[in-house]
Amino acid sequence: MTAVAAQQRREAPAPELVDVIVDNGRRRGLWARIPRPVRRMASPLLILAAWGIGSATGLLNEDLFPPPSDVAVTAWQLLTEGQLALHVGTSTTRVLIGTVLGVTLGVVLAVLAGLTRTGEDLLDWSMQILKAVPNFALTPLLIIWMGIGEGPKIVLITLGVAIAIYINTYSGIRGVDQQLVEMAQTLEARRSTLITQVILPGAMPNFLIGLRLGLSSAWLSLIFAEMINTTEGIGYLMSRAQTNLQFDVSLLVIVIYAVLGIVSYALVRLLERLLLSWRNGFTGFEGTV
Amino acid sequence: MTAAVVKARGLSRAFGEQQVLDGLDLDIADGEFVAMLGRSGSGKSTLLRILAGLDKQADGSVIVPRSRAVVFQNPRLLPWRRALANVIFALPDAGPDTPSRAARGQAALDEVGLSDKAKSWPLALSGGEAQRVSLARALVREPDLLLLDEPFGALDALTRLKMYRLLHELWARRHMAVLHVTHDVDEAILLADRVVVLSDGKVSLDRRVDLPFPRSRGDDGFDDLRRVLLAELGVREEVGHDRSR
Repeated sequence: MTAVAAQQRREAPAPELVDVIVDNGRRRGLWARIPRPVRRMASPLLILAAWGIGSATGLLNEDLFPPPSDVAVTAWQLLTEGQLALHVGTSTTRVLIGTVLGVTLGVVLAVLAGLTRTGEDLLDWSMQILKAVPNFALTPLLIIWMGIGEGPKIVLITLGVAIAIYINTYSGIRGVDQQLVEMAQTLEARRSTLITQVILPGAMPNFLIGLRLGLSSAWLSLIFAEMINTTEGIGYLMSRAQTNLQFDVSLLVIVIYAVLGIVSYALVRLLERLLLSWRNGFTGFEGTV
Repeated sequence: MTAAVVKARGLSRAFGEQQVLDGLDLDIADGEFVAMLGRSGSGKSTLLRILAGLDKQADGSVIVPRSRAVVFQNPRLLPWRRALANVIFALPDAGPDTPSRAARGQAALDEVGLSDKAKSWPLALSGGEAQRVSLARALVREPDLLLLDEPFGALDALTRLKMYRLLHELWARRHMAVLHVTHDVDEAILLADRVVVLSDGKVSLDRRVDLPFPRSRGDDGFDDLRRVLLAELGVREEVGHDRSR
């Protein structure tokens, strides 16, 4: 540094210094000390509390919007009668079969379209077209074609899941790092090794997004499928409650859908933890930003 | 002189209008360590990709050993496989009389000094460690030709010095042919039997390095060779080094 520059530097105000260790001088707040699984429960519990308080204070009309306690009693009744297990069991089975079929179909189509240009040319547009068709529009047609048995319900769910899996897995495959594929080529990896060890694991993050979307689509498809011509399932429970003006059962059905939805989401999160443990992605800031 | 394991004749490769390789001839003898220098865009990487079998659209003739391995500038490890699994990725079983794939992979990791990193995830390794895993992945295949595409380009200077020693030891022990593509003139002189300079898609200079091992910068003849190579690369002003002398 020249003498002049040093002189100038000295006349400038001293640089401001800061402490960059987060916790120095600041204790961790109460919120940060609560375990995260408990923290997650806070917002659903808050909604439940608002509902309970609304009912207790008369803000919600008891006939049109029964309090949580009534819904709990109804749930208990249906449970002891064995009805709840029957309907939830039937619906869950439909979703499971449809999801397994849909995942298989979606992955196979995504691999065919993702790996080869011929596959892409033959499949991609049709899948994108199918994606644009609402399930809802297919429901009456499927019933006409396949009758009112399990067939159309499973097909409806399978289609929704397959499309969600296909769209995401396909883009995941196309997003696999070309450098890794080249590396595998220089090592003369077999085609099967390339697919199972490079391409599919590379597409896994996208596949799991597809699974998440596919599962929510599965429960939605189920509602459409079970609204018409059925005597078992949550959708049947719902439409019967609507006809008979059983608002407590209607609310219970909503709670059941919510619980099943969150359980599916938790399962996918668990899968992500198991399958993507190699990633060190952004996990969010502690506290508020 | 031993038989050539790489024999390229009249090798040409164009991308659209641009002639990247233009009738290149190159021989590499068995067990020979050849360093290839060239400015950016001189066709070094294109040549290496052709020899690696990644680019099959070239004209001319080229013969390479069946067993060859590449180490890229970026280690290109599978992030979802642990270090050892990366080393033995796509490694064929050699038969009943040879050690298992895992044992061979572990031996290769031992050789590059990473015995205790077998179970590490690639994202948890430092740049130098990841590159050594990548080197182990190449060595475990016991290649007759090792292709190195600026393998130390992304490493810091201290790690790079360690890697020079490691690479030299591995080569001295195994004695496979090596083609080492680099920007770094000193690196080329330190490691190679022979340095070739690529300009305008041809070999414009081909020089044996007759310095005895162990070599270090400042040895007799080192600077002369460096000046020749830099001149061939079109770099005449040695700004950074003049002051220290």
